[in-house]
Amino acid sequence: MRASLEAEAHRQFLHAMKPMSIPRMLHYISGADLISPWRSLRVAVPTPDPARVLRFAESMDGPMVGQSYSSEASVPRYHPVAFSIGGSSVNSSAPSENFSLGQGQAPLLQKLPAVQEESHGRSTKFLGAVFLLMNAILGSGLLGQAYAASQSGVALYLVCLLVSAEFDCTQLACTCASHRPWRVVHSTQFSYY
Amino acid sequence: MAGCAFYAIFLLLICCELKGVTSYEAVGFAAYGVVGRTVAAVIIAMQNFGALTGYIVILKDLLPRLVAEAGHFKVGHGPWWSHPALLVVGVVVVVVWPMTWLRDIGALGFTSGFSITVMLLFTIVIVLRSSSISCTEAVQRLELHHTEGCQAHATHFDAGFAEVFPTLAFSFVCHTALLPIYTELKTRTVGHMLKVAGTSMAACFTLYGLAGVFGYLAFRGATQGDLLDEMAKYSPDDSLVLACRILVAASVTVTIPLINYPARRAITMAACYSTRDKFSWVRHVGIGTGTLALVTLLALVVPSITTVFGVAGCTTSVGLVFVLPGMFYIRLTKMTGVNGDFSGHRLGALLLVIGGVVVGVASLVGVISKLI
Repeated sequence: MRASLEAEAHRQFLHAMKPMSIPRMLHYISGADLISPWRSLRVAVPTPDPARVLRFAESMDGPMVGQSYSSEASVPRYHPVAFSIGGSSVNSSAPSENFSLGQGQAPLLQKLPAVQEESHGRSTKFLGAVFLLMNAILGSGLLGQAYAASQSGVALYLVCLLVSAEFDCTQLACTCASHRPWRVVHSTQFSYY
Repeated sequence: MAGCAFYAIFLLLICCELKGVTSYEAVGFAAYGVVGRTVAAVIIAMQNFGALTGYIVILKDLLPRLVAEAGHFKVGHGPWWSHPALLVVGVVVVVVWPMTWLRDIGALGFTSGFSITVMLLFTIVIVLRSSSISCTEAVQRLELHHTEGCQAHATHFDAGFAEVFPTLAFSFVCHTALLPIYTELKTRTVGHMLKVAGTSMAACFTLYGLAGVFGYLAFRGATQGDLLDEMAKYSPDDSLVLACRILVAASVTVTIPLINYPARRAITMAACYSTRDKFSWVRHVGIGTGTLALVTLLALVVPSITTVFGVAGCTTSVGLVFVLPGMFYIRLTKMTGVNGDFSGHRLGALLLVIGGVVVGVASLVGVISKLI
């Protein structure tokens, strides 16, 4: 079972490695299933058995467990987990509850109505997050763009811009993708800001 | 360059995958212990310092001219309080400083919509005005001596190219803000967050591309570092440009405290990690004040905004993108003793570290030699 878990993790990992591209970006914006890239990532929890998950996390953490992490991980906190059933995702804010459900898949299906509830009014939240992130990106950089273009020429400038956008997009994608709930069990918890 | 960057991401991801962590400081801690975490935090703090300095330099360029126009006198010939340095320090102390005392960053949420609107307006003004600006006219009015001619180039390659990639890479960095936004998302799934990231990236790419291309096509060989400043010098009586300048000055002023937060967080992570979760007013105000004072001092000394972009881009961006991932990767794979797919890139990682140091030093030398 551990081997299959590792294989699943590795498959997801390889999936996350694919660089962000323009069709991919369009896919995220429109929601249209152009290439179905992150479908496997939505199955974030391959098993509901917490003991097995912990063992797996320990096996991945290797010799670090008990050395430095023991002082770091004081309170293990769980992150929300997304499940995928037939293409639609269910968001749960209490994954520990799902861990205790055992092997049964039926309770997950019962959660489906919550999707409709939650997707209602999502657009404002979505736009809010987009504005926050745009604000973090935009800034003094805008005033220097023309100078960068004058130093490289129009065509070369656009190519460079695309490269750095793609590069940062990939980084963002990877930061999100590596937010694996069953690993965070053993890692440091941060307080942002 | 792009290949190296992708390779670095690959290595960094392997590190994240190996240790199950998602932040730079955590990878640094896993690889080199407290030293690694401190180095990562310091470089992230430097990145934020670069952004803050850039903002204050914009303020330094904008404020004196606006005040001079409002008071109908020439810059440098007004009353004693209209000295540029005094104006910048005054605004920082009176407006920005109290805003950094706020405990909760949410209180500054209104600024994000405002800044985006202003940047959008600025881009629209550039696109509208680009047809009415001529390069030869600009050379005369701005009294430029050595320009690169009034020909628009598709590709153009000279020593100035060393500044292009640092500037662009610096323009897209938003990683300090990503995880806070992700954790506060209502529907917190990877797919949803990727949608958010993709949308904002695409929007920013469009804005940058429009501003860059139209700005360059307007001024061509006469393009200077700060486009807004140049447009103001070119047509001082244009009310649209004037409105743009006032709004940009206002939005920059309220954004500085917002960027002060991640800088403060990085310093807290580096200096007082053990008590990072306990809120202390003394530390909060102390670090905020120290950061602001240092950045203001830096901005008053720096000659132009392209210097800030260049130096910050080729020191912190190269460090965050090339050198640290390679070092962390080598250390982590050796430490955990993982074999197979995860450990076959040590030579590549070493080359990446060496290449990163070489590229960083080379562009730094290029930027500094342009200064002198």
